[in-house]
Amino acid sequence: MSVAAAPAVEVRGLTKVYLPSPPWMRFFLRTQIREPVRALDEVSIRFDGGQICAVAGPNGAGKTTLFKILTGLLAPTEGSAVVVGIDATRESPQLRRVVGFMAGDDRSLWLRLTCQQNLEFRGRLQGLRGAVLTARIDDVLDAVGLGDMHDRVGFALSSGMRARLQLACALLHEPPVLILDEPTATIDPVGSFELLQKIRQVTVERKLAVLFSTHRVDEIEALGENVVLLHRGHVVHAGPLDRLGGKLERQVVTIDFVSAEAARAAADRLANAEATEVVEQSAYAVTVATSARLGDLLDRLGEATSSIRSLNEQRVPLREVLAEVLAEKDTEHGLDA
Amino acid sequence: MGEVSAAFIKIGYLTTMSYPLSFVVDQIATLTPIFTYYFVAKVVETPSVDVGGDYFTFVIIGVITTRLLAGGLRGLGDELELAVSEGRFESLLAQPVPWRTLPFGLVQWGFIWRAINAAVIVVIAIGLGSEFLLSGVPAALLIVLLGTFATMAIGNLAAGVKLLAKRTDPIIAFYQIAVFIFAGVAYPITLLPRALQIISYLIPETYVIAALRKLLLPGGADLPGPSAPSVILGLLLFNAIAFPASLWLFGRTLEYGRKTGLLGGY
Repeated sequence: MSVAAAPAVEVRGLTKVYLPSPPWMRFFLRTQIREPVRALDEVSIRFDGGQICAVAGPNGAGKTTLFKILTGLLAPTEGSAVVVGIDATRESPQLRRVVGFMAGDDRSLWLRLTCQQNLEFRGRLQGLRGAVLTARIDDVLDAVGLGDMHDRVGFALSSGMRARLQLACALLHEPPVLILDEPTATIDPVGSFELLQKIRQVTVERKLAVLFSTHRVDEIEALGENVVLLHRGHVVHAGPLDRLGGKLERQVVTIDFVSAEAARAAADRLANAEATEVVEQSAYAVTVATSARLGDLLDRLGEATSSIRSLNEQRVPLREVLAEVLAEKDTEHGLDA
Repeated sequence: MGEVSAAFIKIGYLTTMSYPLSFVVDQIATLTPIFTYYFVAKVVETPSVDVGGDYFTFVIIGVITTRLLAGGLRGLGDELELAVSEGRFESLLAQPVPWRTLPFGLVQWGFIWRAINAAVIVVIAIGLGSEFLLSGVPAALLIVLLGTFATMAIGNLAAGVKLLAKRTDPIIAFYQIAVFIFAGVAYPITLLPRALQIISYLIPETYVIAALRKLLLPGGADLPGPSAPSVILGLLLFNAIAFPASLWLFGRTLEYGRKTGLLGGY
């Protein structure tokens, strides 16, 4: 398979089990686990180039383990991970030539050195030199909005700027795939927004495939066209957010009536309505969670419709949808939430 | 490989120079023993055993040699520990550089700096009255180079342990104690009980120090110990086996860490 024709990332049946050190080694090698930990369990994902894919999930979902395998830093227990046609397990050195990796904190930078010096070091490790290296450094610093910061030392940069410098480091050897492990973890919301804008921009301009992990709901929503939701090592959802089992179409509707009788009658009628659940009832109001269309809901009310004083309709927040999806998965697997 | 080496040397230089006070204090600290031994030598102006000339020059050769060879011994482990604790190790591993080049890359600046430091010590020692045989310098440099590779082989093994056990460094800790006591840094190993001299001959530093004294001390030719050619031959044989083996084991350790997920922790 040629590199150009291959999917950006193809993961099949990927399983990673962390094992505790053998008893005879524990005096020297103290791992923090006493029982095997299944961090990834038969994960399968396919992701084509030219897109941003957000890998989301709570802490411990398996995001970092997945990313370490995709950057060749960790070997899977079973299954395969292929990045632009290169096997992540067997061809780790080749893999690192086609992947630009950005860690979640700024500790991978030499903060006492300038942006230029940080990039020169990375560039030389990547085999770049002379005029080519200089041109690349100018190019990536411009791309991340640090074009006038060549001589600024890392400590003099804000957290957002440091994240952008890390992004520049990841872009330096012109990899077709970027893997960004919680790139906004240490940045304020404004800095995060700016970084996401830059990531979007370089993805389009350079036709990159970008895989990035996050546990921030706003970022999942912003990049919702392609989301992999991981939970306890399993893929709970892969694809656009709006395909999340129709749960995102649900809304909470509160209907205020002019009389208590009308409210009671409405509650009785709505209790049996399809895809609708009465979640709260007071003297004059009924609140339902429903994925039915508003028109269908009003049809169901029949005569009570004329007694409506006001109607309030709200989408269920994404975080609640995600929490519900994850709780359902826990129930399926017989686990406590 | 050349470009990777240059990158590591430059980043080492820039990092060192970005802490100017620490740099100055460290250098002063490394020069302190010279003056200590200078005055100790005044106390033992007529040594009770043959030291090939004056005691001060005898000790200076021991001190310089152990300092240079410690670069091979400690260099990789120290740099790995720093990279792991400062959070740069995984990012280094994610670079498109063969992992087997890391032991070379990470230790180079340390070697260069130790060599400059040794040269400064020699200059100060000469200023304080030491005499060295210039004719022995080329062979001495070759032996130091071979000795550095020998200790680097041991250092690579220790770094492998450190990579997995993190702050634990049992090999180097015991080894350095053994060097200080048994390798003849500050006294001839002939002063040790015979049973303990067996330990001395298990340590590469013993051979390097003895050969350098034979080559550089004006009266060193008659000192006990192996000749320079035999030390060169011995180190060549040791390095031919131990150095590739240590690199292989270090690579296996990285692979084990990759399998178990121990690479990035600290």
